[in-house]
Amino acid sequence: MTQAAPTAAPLSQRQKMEFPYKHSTGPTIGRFYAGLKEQKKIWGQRVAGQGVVVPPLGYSEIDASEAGEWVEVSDRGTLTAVALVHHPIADLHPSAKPFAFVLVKLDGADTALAHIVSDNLDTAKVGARVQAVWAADDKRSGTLRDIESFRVVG
Amino acid sequence: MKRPVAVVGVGQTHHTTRRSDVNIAGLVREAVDLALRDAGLEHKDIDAVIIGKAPDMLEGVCQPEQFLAGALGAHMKPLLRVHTAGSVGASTALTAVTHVASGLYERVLTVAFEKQSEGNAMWALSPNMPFVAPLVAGAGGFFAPYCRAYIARTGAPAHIGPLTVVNARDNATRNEHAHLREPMSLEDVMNTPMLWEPLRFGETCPSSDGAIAMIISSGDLAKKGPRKPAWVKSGYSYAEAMWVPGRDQVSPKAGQVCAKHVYDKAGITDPWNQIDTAEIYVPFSWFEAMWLENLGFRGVGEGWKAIDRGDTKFGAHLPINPSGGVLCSNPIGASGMIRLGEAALQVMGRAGAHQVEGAKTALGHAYGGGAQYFAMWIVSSQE
Repeated sequence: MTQAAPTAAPLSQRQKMEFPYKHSTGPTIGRFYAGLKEQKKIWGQRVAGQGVVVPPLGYSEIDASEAGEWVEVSDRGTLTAVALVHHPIADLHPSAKPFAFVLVKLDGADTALAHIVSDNLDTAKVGARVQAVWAADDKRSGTLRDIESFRVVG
Repeated sequence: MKRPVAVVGVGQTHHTTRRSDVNIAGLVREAVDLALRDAGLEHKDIDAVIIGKAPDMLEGVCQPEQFLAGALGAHMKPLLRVHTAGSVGASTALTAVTHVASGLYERVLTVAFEKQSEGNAMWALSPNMPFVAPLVAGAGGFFAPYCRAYIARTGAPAHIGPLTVVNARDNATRNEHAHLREPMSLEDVMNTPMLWEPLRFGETCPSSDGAIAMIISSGDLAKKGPRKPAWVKSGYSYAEAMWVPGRDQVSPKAGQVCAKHVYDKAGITDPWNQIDTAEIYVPFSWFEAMWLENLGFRGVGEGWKAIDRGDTKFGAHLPINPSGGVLCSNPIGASGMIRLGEAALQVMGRAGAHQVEGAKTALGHAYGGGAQYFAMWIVSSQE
Protein backbone atom coordinates (compact mmCIF):
# COMPACT_ATOMS: atom_id res chain seq x y z
CA MET A 1 0.00 0.00 0.00
CA THR A 2 1.37 3.41 -0.94
CA GLN A 3 1.27 6.25 1.52
CA ALA A 4 -0.67 9.46 1.03
CA ALA A 5 1.52 12.35 -0.13
CA PRO A 6 3.29 13.90 2.87
CA THR A 7 3.06 17.61 3.55
CA ALA A 8 5.10 19.77 5.87
CA ALA A 9 1.97 21.49 7.20
CA PRO A 10 -1.77 21.40 6.54
CA LEU A 11 -2.64 23.35 3.39
CA SER A 12 -5.26 26.04 3.08
CA GLN A 13 -7.48 27.27 0.25
CA ARG A 14 -8.70 30.76 -0.46
CA GLN A 15 -12.29 31.40 -1.48
CA LYS A 16 -14.25 34.50 -2.42
CA MET A 17 -17.98 34.50 -3.12
CA GLU A 18 -19.97 37.44 -4.42
CA PHE A 19 -23.65 37.71 -5.34
CA PRO A 20 -25.68 40.79 -6.31
CA TYR A 21 -28.81 41.54 -4.27
CA LYS A 22 -31.81 43.83 -4.65
CA HIS A 23 -33.98 44.25 -1.56
CA SER A 24 -37.57 45.43 -1.47
CA THR A 25 -38.11 47.98 1.27
CA GLY A 26 -41.82 47.35 1.79
CA PRO A 27 -44.28 50.20 2.34
CA THR A 28 -43.05 51.36 5.77
CA ILE A 29 -39.29 51.55 5.35
CA GLY A 30 -39.91 52.65 1.77
CA ARG A 31 -41.86 55.68 2.98
CA PHE A 32 -39.13 56.50 5.52
CA TYR A 33 -36.46 56.46 2.80
CA ALA A 34 -38.69 58.42 0.41
CA GLY A 35 -38.96 61.08 3.13
CA LEU A 36 -35.17 61.34 3.33
CA LYS A 37 -34.73 61.46 -0.43
CA GLU A 38 -37.59 63.65 -1.52
CA GLN A 39 -38.39 65.79 1.53
CA LYS A 40 -35.21 65.90 3.63
CA LYS A 41 -37.55 64.88 6.42
CA ILE A 42 -37.24 62.12 9.00
CA TRP A 43 -40.40 60.18 9.70
CA GLY A 44 -41.16 57.78 12.50
CA GLN A 45 -44.18 55.82 13.64
CA ARG A 46 -45.97 55.87 16.95
CA VAL A 47 -45.95 52.37 18.45
CA ALA A 48 -48.07 51.39 21.44
CA GLY A 49 -45.94 51.38 24.59
CA GLN A 50 -42.79 52.54 22.80
CA GLY A 51 -43.49 56.12 21.73
CA VAL A 52 -42.12 57.27 18.38
CA VAL A 53 -39.87 54.70 16.69
CA VAL A 54 -37.25 55.85 14.11
CA PRO A 55 -36.62 54.30 11.64
CA PRO A 56 -40.15 52.88 11.60
CA LEU A 57 -40.74 49.16 10.99
CA GLY A 58 -44.51 49.04 10.59
CA TYR A 59 -44.96 46.87 13.66
CA SER A 60 -44.13 46.73 17.35
CA GLU A 61 -41.01 44.73 18.11
CA ILE A 62 -42.46 44.04 21.56
CA ASP A 63 -45.74 42.36 20.66
CA ALA A 64 -45.75 42.29 16.82
CA SER A 65 -48.87 44.50 16.68
CA GLU A 66 -49.31 46.98 13.83
CA ALA A 67 -47.63 50.38 14.27
CA GLY A 68 -49.73 53.53 14.56
CA GLU A 69 -49.62 56.99 12.98
CA TRP A 70 -46.69 58.55 11.16
CA VAL A 71 -44.86 61.33 13.02
CA GLU A 72 -42.25 63.70 11.64
CA VAL A 73 -39.26 64.09 13.96
CA SER A 74 -36.50 66.71 13.98
CA ASP A 75 -33.20 66.35 12.14
CA ARG A 76 -31.55 67.53 15.38
CA GLY A 77 -30.95 65.35 18.37
CA THR A 78 -28.71 64.23 21.22
CA LEU A 79 -25.94 61.62 21.16
CA THR A 80 -26.67 58.67 23.46
CA ALA A 81 -23.63 56.57 22.53
CA VAL A 82 -20.29 57.15 20.78
CA ALA A 83 -17.63 54.74 19.47
CA LEU A 84 -14.58 56.26 17.78
CA VAL A 85 -13.03 54.49 14.80
CA HIS A 86 -9.49 55.76 14.43
CA HIS A 87 -8.43 53.47 11.59
CA PRO A 88 -11.33 52.87 9.19
CA ILE A 89 -11.16 49.89 6.85
CA ALA A 90 -11.51 50.90 3.21
CA ASP A 91 -14.81 49.90 1.49
CA LEU A 92 -16.14 48.41 4.71
CA HIS A 93 -16.59 51.28 7.12
CA PRO A 94 -18.94 54.17 6.24
CA SER A 95 -16.13 56.75 6.13
CA ALA A 96 -12.62 56.73 4.71
CA LYS A 97 -11.31 59.12 7.38
CA PRO A 98 -11.60 58.64 11.16
CA PHE A 99 -15.22 58.86 12.32
CA ALA A 100 -17.48 57.96 15.23
CA PHE A 101 -20.32 55.48 15.23
CA VAL A 102 -23.08 57.18 17.21
CA LEU A 103 -26.61 56.69 18.41
CA VAL A 104 -28.70 59.84 17.95
CA LYS A 105 -31.95 60.36 19.82
CA LEU A 106 -33.68 62.76 17.46
CA ASP A 107 -35.93 65.42 19.00
CA GLY A 108 -39.43 63.99 18.93
CA ALA A 109 -38.24 60.35 18.74
CA ASP A 110 -38.15 57.81 21.56
CA THR A 111 -35.56 55.54 19.98
CA ALA A 112 -31.98 56.25 18.95
CA LEU A 113 -30.85 56.13 15.33
CA ALA A 114 -27.47 54.57 14.48
CA HIS A 115 -25.37 56.90 12.32
CA ILE A 116 -21.95 58.56 12.17
CA VAL A 117 -20.22 61.80 13.16
CA SER A 118 -17.34 62.56 10.80
CA ASP A 119 -15.95 65.93 11.92
CA ASN A 120 -14.69 67.41 15.19
CA LEU A 121 -14.59 63.98 16.75
CA ASP A 122 -13.22 65.35 20.04
CA THR A 123 -16.62 66.99 20.60
CA ALA A 124 -18.60 63.82 19.88
CA LYS A 125 -19.55 62.92 23.43
CA VAL A 126 -22.65 61.41 24.97
CA GLY A 127 -25.07 64.26 25.56
CA ALA A 128 -23.73 66.44 22.71
CA ARG A 129 -26.31 68.09 20.47
CA VAL A 130 -26.05 67.15 16.78
CA GLN A 131 -27.57 68.24 13.47
CA ALA A 132 -28.07 66.09 10.35
CA VAL A 133 -25.82 66.94 7.40
CA TRP A 134 -27.95 66.26 4.33
CA ALA A 135 -26.56 65.04 1.03
CA ALA A 136 -27.09 67.34 -1.96
CA ASP A 137 -30.39 67.04 -3.83
CA ASP A 138 -28.82 65.16 -6.75
CA LYS A 139 -26.97 62.79 -4.41
CA ARG A 140 -29.87 61.54 -2.30
CA SER A 141 -30.98 58.08 -3.44
CA GLY A 142 -33.26 56.78 -0.70
CA THR A 143 -30.78 55.34 1.79
CA LEU A 144 -29.81 56.20 5.35
CA ARG A 145 -26.75 57.95 3.90
CA ASP A 146 -29.03 60.58 2.38
CA ILE A 147 -28.02 61.97 5.75
CA GLU A 148 -24.27 62.03 5.12
CA SER A 149 -23.45 62.31 8.80
CA PHE A 150 -24.31 64.27 11.93
CA ARG A 151 -22.27 67.27 13.06
CA VAL A 152 -21.93 68.44 16.64
CA VAL A 153 -23.65 71.78 17.21
CA GLY A 154 -23.18 72.18 20.94
CA MET B 1 -44.62 11.17 20.40
CA LYS B 2 -45.10 11.71 24.10
CA ARG B 3 -48.52 13.33 23.68
CA PRO B 4 -50.92 14.19 20.84
CA VAL B 5 -50.00 17.16 18.65
CA ALA B 6 -52.09 18.91 16.02
CA VAL B 7 -52.00 21.66 13.43
CA VAL B 8 -54.56 24.30 14.38
CA GLY B 9 -53.72 27.04 11.90
CA VAL B 10 -52.19 27.36 8.44
CA GLY B 11 -51.51 30.60 6.59
CA GLN B 12 -49.64 31.18 3.37
CA THR B 13 -49.00 34.09 1.04
CA HIS B 14 -49.63 33.88 -2.66
CA HIS B 15 -46.43 32.79 -4.34
CA THR B 16 -45.06 34.77 -7.23
CA THR B 17 -41.90 35.85 -9.04
CA ARG B 18 -41.31 39.02 -7.07
CA ARG B 19 -43.12 40.47 -4.09
CA SER B 20 -41.69 43.96 -4.53
CA ASP B 21 -44.58 45.35 -2.46
CA VAL B 22 -43.22 43.95 0.81
CA ASN B 23 -39.88 43.38 2.47
CA ILE B 24 -38.94 40.07 4.10
CA ALA B 25 -40.52 41.04 7.43
CA GLY B 26 -43.71 42.07 5.64
CA LEU B 27 -43.81 38.78 3.72
CA VAL B 28 -43.47 36.57 6.81
CA ARG B 29 -45.91 38.71 8.78
CA GLU B 30 -48.51 38.17 6.07
CA ALA B 31 -48.27 34.39 6.53
CA VAL B 32 -48.11 34.63 10.33
CA ASP B 33 -51.19 36.88 10.52
CA LEU B 34 -53.12 34.46 8.30
CA ALA B 35 -52.08 31.44 10.38
CA LEU B 36 -53.01 33.12 13.67
CA ARG B 37 -56.37 34.24 12.26
CA ASP B 38 -56.94 30.72 10.90
CA ALA B 39 -56.39 29.32 14.39
CA GLY B 40 -58.38 32.06 16.12
CA LEU B 41 -55.29 32.93 18.16
CA GLU B 42 -53.07 35.94 18.87
CA HIS B 43 -49.33 36.33 19.42
CA LYS B 44 -49.85 36.24 23.18
CA ASP B 45 -51.16 32.66 22.85
CA ILE B 46 -47.86 31.48 21.34
CA ASP B 47 -45.12 30.02 23.57
CA ALA B 48 -42.25 29.78 21.09
CA VAL B 49 -41.33 30.59 17.50
CA ILE B 50 -39.37 28.36 15.12
CA ILE B 51 -38.29 29.77 11.78
CA GLY B 52 -36.62 28.19 8.78
CA LYS B 53 -35.33 29.26 5.40
CA ALA B 54 -32.76 28.08 2.87
CA PRO B 55 -29.16 29.42 2.94
CA ASP B 56 -28.80 33.06 4.02
CA MET B 57 -26.83 33.69 0.83
CA LEU B 58 -30.07 33.51 -1.17
CA GLU B 59 -31.19 36.93 0.03
CA GLY B 60 -27.85 38.06 1.40
CA VAL B 61 -29.57 39.07 4.64
CA CYS B 62 -28.00 36.98 7.33
CA GLN B 63 -29.54 35.59 10.50
CA PRO B 64 -33.27 35.94 9.83
CA GLU B 65 -33.87 34.58 13.33
CA GLN B 66 -32.23 37.77 14.58
CA PHE B 67 -33.68 40.52 12.42
CA LEU B 68 -37.16 38.99 12.23
CA ALA B 69 -37.60 38.36 15.97
CA GLY B 70 -39.76 41.45 16.44
CA ALA B 71 -41.75 40.89 13.26
CA LEU B 72 -42.59 37.34 14.39
CA GLY B 73 -43.73 38.28 17.88
CA ALA B 74 -40.78 36.41 19.39
CA HIS B 75 -39.79 39.16 21.87
CA MET B 76 -39.23 37.44 25.23
CA LYS B 77 -40.02 34.01 23.80
CA PRO B 78 -37.79 31.11 22.75
CA LEU B 79 -36.80 31.58 19.09
CA LEU B 80 -35.00 28.93 17.04
CA ARG B 81 -33.83 28.83 13.46
CA VAL B 82 -33.62 25.55 11.55
CA HIS B 83 -31.69 24.84 8.39
CA THR B 84 -31.64 21.70 6.25
CA ALA B 85 -31.39 23.08 2.69
CA GLY B 86 -34.50 22.50 0.53
CA SER B 87 -36.19 20.34 3.13
CA VAL B 88 -35.90 23.11 5.72
CA GLY B 89 -39.57 24.07 5.70
CA ALA B 90 -40.54 20.53 6.65
CA SER B 91 -37.83 20.04 9.26
CA THR B 92 -38.72 23.44 10.76
CA ALA B 93 -42.32 22.33 11.24
CA LEU B 94 -41.13 18.99 12.66
CA THR B 95 -38.95 20.87 15.15
CA ALA B 96 -42.09 22.69 16.29
CA VAL B 97 -43.89 19.34 16.60
CA THR B 98 -41.06 17.94 18.74
CA HIS B 99 -41.17 20.93 21.06
CA VAL B 100 -44.91 20.51 21.61
CA ALA B 101 -44.88 16.70 21.75
CA SER B 102 -42.19 16.86 24.45
CA GLY B 103 -44.54 18.83 26.67
CA LEU B 104 -42.21 21.82 26.70
CA TYR B 105 -44.63 24.20 24.94
CA GLU B 106 -48.37 24.24 24.33
CA ARG B 107 -48.40 26.22 21.09
CA VAL B 108 -45.53 26.92 18.73
CA LEU B 109 -45.62 29.28 15.76
CA THR B 110 -43.55 27.87 12.92
CA VAL B 111 -42.67 29.95 9.89
CA ALA B 112 -40.73 29.43 6.66
CA PHE B 113 -40.06 31.79 3.79
CA GLU B 114 -37.95 32.62 0.80
CA LYS B 115 -37.74 35.84 -1.15
CA GLN B 116 -35.75 34.50 -4.05
CA SER B 117 -36.23 37.61 -6.16
CA GLU B 118 -33.85 39.54 -3.89
CA GLY B 119 -30.76 37.58 -4.85
CA ASN B 120 -29.49 34.84 -7.10
CA ALA B 121 -30.98 31.62 -5.77
CA MET B 122 -29.73 29.55 -8.67
CA TRP B 123 -26.05 30.04 -7.90
CA ALA B 124 -26.18 31.02 -4.25
CA LEU B 125 -27.71 27.58 -3.62
CA SER B 126 -24.81 25.85 -5.29
CA PRO B 127 -21.58 27.65 -4.43
CA ASN B 128 -18.16 26.10 -4.67
CA MET B 129 -17.42 24.28 -1.41
CA PRO B 130 -13.87 24.10 -0.10
CA PHE B 131 -11.94 20.82 -0.27
CA VAL B 132 -14.38 18.94 -2.53
CA ALA B 133 -14.72 18.60 -6.28
CA PRO B 134 -16.27 21.73 -7.80
CA LEU B 135 -19.97 21.15 -8.44
CA VAL B 136 -21.23 24.58 -9.39
CA ALA B 137 -24.03 23.02 -11.39
CA GLY B 138 -27.15 24.69 -10.06
CA ALA B 139 -29.94 22.46 -8.80
CA GLY B 140 -31.11 21.44 -12.28
CA GLY B 141 -27.64 20.49 -13.45
CA PHE B 142 -27.11 18.56 -10.25
CA PHE B 143 -30.35 16.56 -10.30
CA ALA B 144 -30.76 15.91 -14.04
CA PRO B 145 -28.25 13.00 -14.02
CA TYR B 146 -30.28 11.31 -11.25
CA CYS B 147 -33.35 11.57 -13.49
CA ARG B 148 -31.37 10.09 -16.38
CA ALA B 149 -30.23 7.27 -14.14
CA TYR B 150 -33.85 6.61 -13.15
CA ILE B 151 -34.89 6.46 -16.80
CA ALA B 152 -31.99 4.15 -17.62
CA ARG B 153 -32.87 1.80 -14.76
CA THR B 154 -36.59 1.63 -15.35
CA GLY B 155 -36.92 2.10 -19.09
CA ALA B 156 -39.51 4.80 -18.43
CA PRO B 157 -40.74 6.47 -21.64
CA ALA B 158 -39.72 10.07 -22.32
CA HIS B 159 -43.19 11.60 -21.87
CA ILE B 160 -43.45 10.77 -18.13
CA GLY B 161 -41.59 13.91 -17.02
CA PRO B 162 -43.73 16.24 -19.18
CA LEU B 163 -46.92 14.37 -18.18
CA THR B 164 -46.07 15.00 -14.52
CA VAL B 165 -45.95 18.72 -15.32
CA VAL B 166 -49.31 18.59 -17.12
CA ASN B 167 -50.88 17.13 -13.96
CA ALA B 168 -49.14 19.62 -11.66
CA ARG B 169 -50.19 22.59 -13.78
CA ASP B 170 -53.77 21.31 -13.93
CA ASN B 171 -53.76 21.05 -10.13
CA ALA B 172 -52.37 24.57 -9.72
CA THR B 173 -55.31 26.03 -11.66
CA ARG B 174 -57.37 25.17 -8.54
CA ASN B 175 -54.91 26.66 -6.02
CA GLU B 176 -55.21 30.42 -5.53
CA HIS B 177 -51.78 30.56 -3.83
CA ALA B 178 -49.87 28.90 -6.68
CA HIS B 179 -47.27 30.82 -8.68
CA LEU B 180 -47.74 29.13 -12.10
CA ARG B 181 -51.47 28.68 -12.68
CA GLU B 182 -51.63 28.43 -16.46
CA PRO B 183 -52.36 24.89 -17.68
CA MET B 184 -49.87 23.27 -20.06
CA SER B 185 -50.48 20.47 -22.55
CA LEU B 186 -48.00 17.66 -23.09
CA GLU B 187 -47.01 19.35 -26.33
CA ASP B 188 -46.56 22.72 -24.57
CA VAL B 189 -44.13 21.15 -22.09
CA MET B 190 -42.29 19.19 -24.78
CA ASN B 191 -41.82 22.40 -26.78
CA THR B 192 -40.03 24.26 -23.98
CA PRO B 193 -36.24 24.43 -24.32
CA MET B 194 -34.16 21.54 -23.01
CA LEU B 195 -32.10 22.86 -20.09
CA TRP B 196 -30.47 19.84 -18.55
CA GLU B 197 -31.28 16.62 -20.41
CA PRO B 198 -33.87 15.19 -19.68
CA LEU B 199 -35.23 18.30 -17.92
CA ARG B 200 -36.81 20.99 -20.06
CA PHE B 201 -37.55 24.53 -18.93
CA GLY B 202 -41.19 23.52 -18.46
CA GLU B 203 -40.16 20.63 -16.22
CA THR B 204 -38.38 22.90 -13.75
CA CYS B 205 -39.76 24.63 -10.67
CA PRO B 206 -40.15 28.42 -10.79
CA SER B 207 -38.21 30.80 -8.54
CA SER B 208 -40.76 32.27 -6.14
CA ASP B 209 -41.24 34.71 -3.29
CA GLY B 210 -43.52 33.33 -0.61
CA ALA B 211 -44.03 32.37 3.02
CA ILE B 212 -46.07 29.96 5.11
CA ALA B 213 -46.78 29.75 8.83
CA MET B 214 -48.46 27.12 10.97
CA ILE B 215 -49.58 26.93 14.57
CA ILE B 216 -48.62 23.60 16.14
CA SER B 217 -50.61 22.89 19.28
CA SER B 218 -50.91 20.33 22.02
CA GLY B 219 -53.84 17.98 21.45
CA ASP B 220 -55.62 19.25 24.57
CA LEU B 221 -55.67 22.85 23.36
CA ALA B 222 -56.35 21.82 19.76
CA LYS B 223 -59.66 20.27 20.86
CA LYS B 224 -60.70 23.61 22.35
CA GLY B 225 -60.06 25.50 19.09
CA PRO B 226 -62.77 26.80 16.78
CA ARG B 227 -61.89 24.45 13.91
CA LYS B 228 -61.16 20.79 13.32
CA PRO B 229 -57.38 20.35 13.60
CA ALA B 230 -55.06 18.12 11.58
CA TRP B 231 -53.59 15.50 13.91
CA VAL B 232 -49.89 14.82 13.48
CA LYS B 233 -49.63 11.03 13.59
CA SER B 234 -45.89 10.90 12.98
CA GLY B 235 -42.99 13.05 11.86
CA TYR B 236 -39.37 12.19 11.19
CA SER B 237 -36.38 13.64 9.43
CA TYR B 238 -33.24 11.83 8.26
CA ALA B 239 -30.00 12.92 6.67
CA GLU B 240 -27.41 10.98 4.74
CA ALA B 241 -23.86 11.92 3.90
CA MET B 242 -23.27 13.23 0.40
CA TRP B 243 -20.35 11.09 -0.68
CA VAL B 244 -20.84 7.77 1.09
CA PRO B 245 -19.62 5.00 -1.24
CA GLY B 246 -22.51 3.10 -2.73
CA ARG B 247 -25.02 5.85 -2.00
CA ASP B 248 -28.03 5.59 -4.29
CA GLN B 249 -29.00 9.10 -5.31
CA VAL B 250 -31.96 7.86 -7.37
CA SER B 251 -33.61 6.30 -4.33
CA PRO B 252 -31.70 7.51 -1.27
CA LYS B 253 -31.73 5.22 1.73
CA ALA B 254 -32.48 8.12 4.11
CA GLY B 255 -35.71 8.73 2.22
CA GLN B 256 -36.73 5.09 2.46
CA VAL B 257 -35.90 4.90 6.16
CA CYS B 258 -37.71 8.15 6.91
CA ALA B 259 -40.82 6.97 5.05
CA LYS B 260 -40.79 3.61 6.86
CA HIS B 261 -40.62 5.36 10.22
CA VAL B 262 -43.48 7.75 9.52
CA TYR B 263 -45.64 4.91 8.18
CA ASP B 264 -44.83 2.53 11.07
CA LYS B 265 -45.53 5.18 13.68
CA ALA B 266 -48.80 6.13 12.00
CA GLY B 267 -49.85 2.49 11.63
CA ILE B 268 -49.66 2.54 7.85
CA THR B 269 -48.75 -0.79 6.27
CA ASP B 270 -49.97 -0.11 2.72
CA PRO B 271 -49.27 3.53 1.83
CA TRP B 272 -50.68 3.27 -1.70
CA ASN B 273 -54.10 2.30 -0.33
CA GLN B 274 -54.11 3.84 3.15
CA ILE B 275 -52.95 7.37 2.25
CA ASP B 276 -55.55 9.54 0.54
CA THR B 277 -53.26 12.22 -0.88
CA ALA B 278 -49.61 13.24 -0.69
CA GLU B 279 -47.77 16.52 -1.06
CA ILE B 280 -44.27 15.51 -2.07
CA TYR B 281 -41.27 17.64 -3.01
CA VAL B 282 -40.97 17.54 -6.80
CA PRO B 283 -38.83 20.45 -8.03
CA PHE B 284 -38.06 18.70 -11.32
CA SER B 285 -40.63 16.59 -13.18
CA TRP B 286 -39.03 13.16 -12.95
CA PHE B 287 -38.75 13.29 -9.18
CA GLU B 288 -42.44 12.45 -8.83
CA ALA B 289 -41.89 9.02 -10.38
CA MET B 290 -38.68 8.59 -8.35
CA TRP B 291 -40.29 9.52 -5.03
CA LEU B 292 -43.34 7.31 -5.66
CA GLU B 293 -40.86 4.44 -5.45
CA ASN B 294 -38.61 5.88 -2.76
CA LEU B 295 -41.63 6.49 -0.53
CA GLY B 296 -42.90 2.94 -1.05
CA PHE B 297 -46.08 3.93 -2.86
CA ARG B 298 -45.03 1.81 -5.82
CA GLY B 299 -42.42 -0.90 -6.28
CA VAL B 300 -39.03 -0.36 -7.89
CA GLY B 301 -39.52 0.51 -11.58
CA GLU B 302 -43.26 0.97 -11.10
CA GLY B 303 -43.46 4.67 -10.13
CA TRP B 304 -43.63 6.03 -13.68
CA LYS B 305 -46.40 3.55 -14.57
CA ALA B 306 -48.72 5.03 -11.94
CA ILE B 307 -48.24 8.45 -13.51
CA ASP B 308 -48.72 7.02 -17.01
CA ARG B 309 -52.00 5.37 -15.95
CA GLY B 310 -53.23 8.65 -14.46
CA ASP B 311 -53.40 7.22 -10.91
CA THR B 312 -51.80 10.32 -9.38
CA LYS B 313 -54.06 12.92 -11.02
CA PHE B 314 -56.60 14.99 -9.12
CA GLY B 315 -59.64 12.82 -8.47
CA ALA B 316 -57.74 9.56 -9.19
CA HIS B 317 -56.52 6.85 -6.80
CA LEU B 318 -53.73 8.82 -5.07
CA PRO B 319 -53.72 12.53 -5.97
CA ILE B 320 -50.14 13.74 -5.76
CA ASN B 321 -49.56 17.45 -5.08
CA PRO B 322 -53.15 18.63 -5.47
CA SER B 323 -51.77 22.14 -4.75
CA GLY B 324 -49.63 21.97 -7.90
CA GLY B 325 -46.58 21.37 -5.72
CA VAL B 326 -43.06 22.68 -6.08
CA LEU B 327 -43.29 22.53 -9.90
CA CYS B 328 -45.80 25.39 -9.69
CA SER B 329 -44.50 27.37 -6.65
CA ASN B 330 -41.02 27.27 -5.17
CA PRO B 331 -40.10 29.76 -2.47
CA ILE B 332 -37.36 27.27 -1.52
CA GLY B 333 -37.19 27.66 2.25
CA ALA B 334 -41.00 27.65 2.48
CA SER B 335 -41.62 24.85 -0.03
CA GLY B 336 -41.16 21.99 2.44
CA MET B 337 -43.51 23.57 4.98
CA ILE B 338 -46.04 24.23 2.21
CA ARG B 339 -46.04 20.47 1.50
CA LEU B 340 -46.75 19.74 5.18
CA GLY B 341 -49.26 22.58 5.47
CA GLU B 342 -51.13 21.52 2.33
CA ALA B 343 -51.29 17.94 3.66
CA ALA B 344 -52.76 19.34 6.89
CA LEU B 345 -55.34 21.45 5.01
CA GLN B 346 -56.42 18.35 3.08
CA VAL B 347 -57.23 16.32 6.20
CA MET B 348 -58.88 19.36 7.80
CA GLY B 349 -61.10 19.46 4.70
CA ARG B 350 -60.10 23.08 4.09
CA ALA B 351 -58.01 22.91 0.92
CA GLY B 352 -60.61 24.87 -1.04
CA ALA B 353 -60.93 24.17 -4.76
CA HIS B 354 -58.09 21.64 -4.65
CA GLN B 355 -59.60 19.64 -1.78
CA VAL B 356 -59.25 15.89 -2.32
CA GLU B 357 -62.69 14.54 -1.56
CA GLY B 358 -62.85 12.67 1.73
CA ALA B 359 -59.10 12.97 2.48
CA LYS B 360 -58.50 11.57 5.97
CA THR B 361 -54.82 10.64 5.89
CA ALA B 362 -52.12 12.61 4.06
CA LEU B 363 -48.36 12.56 3.67
CA GLY B 364 -46.30 15.76 3.59
CA HIS B 365 -42.73 15.28 2.32
CA ALA B 366 -39.67 17.34 1.54
CA TYR B 367 -36.08 16.69 0.52
CA GLY B 368 -33.04 18.89 0.33
CA GLY B 369 -29.32 19.19 -0.28
CA GLY B 370 -27.98 16.63 -2.76
CA ALA B 371 -31.11 14.52 -2.05
CA GLN B 372 -29.61 14.06 1.42
CA TYR B 373 -32.16 15.52 3.80
CA PHE B 374 -35.63 14.08 4.18
CA ALA B 375 -38.44 15.30 6.41
CA MET B 376 -42.00 13.95 6.40
CA TRP B 377 -45.15 13.79 8.39
CA ILE B 378 -48.41 11.90 8.32
CA VAL B 379 -51.44 13.95 9.27
CA SER B 380 -54.92 12.66 9.90
CA SER B 381 -58.44 13.95 10.44
CA GLN B 382 -58.65 11.52 13.39
CA GLU B 383 -56.81 11.86 16.69
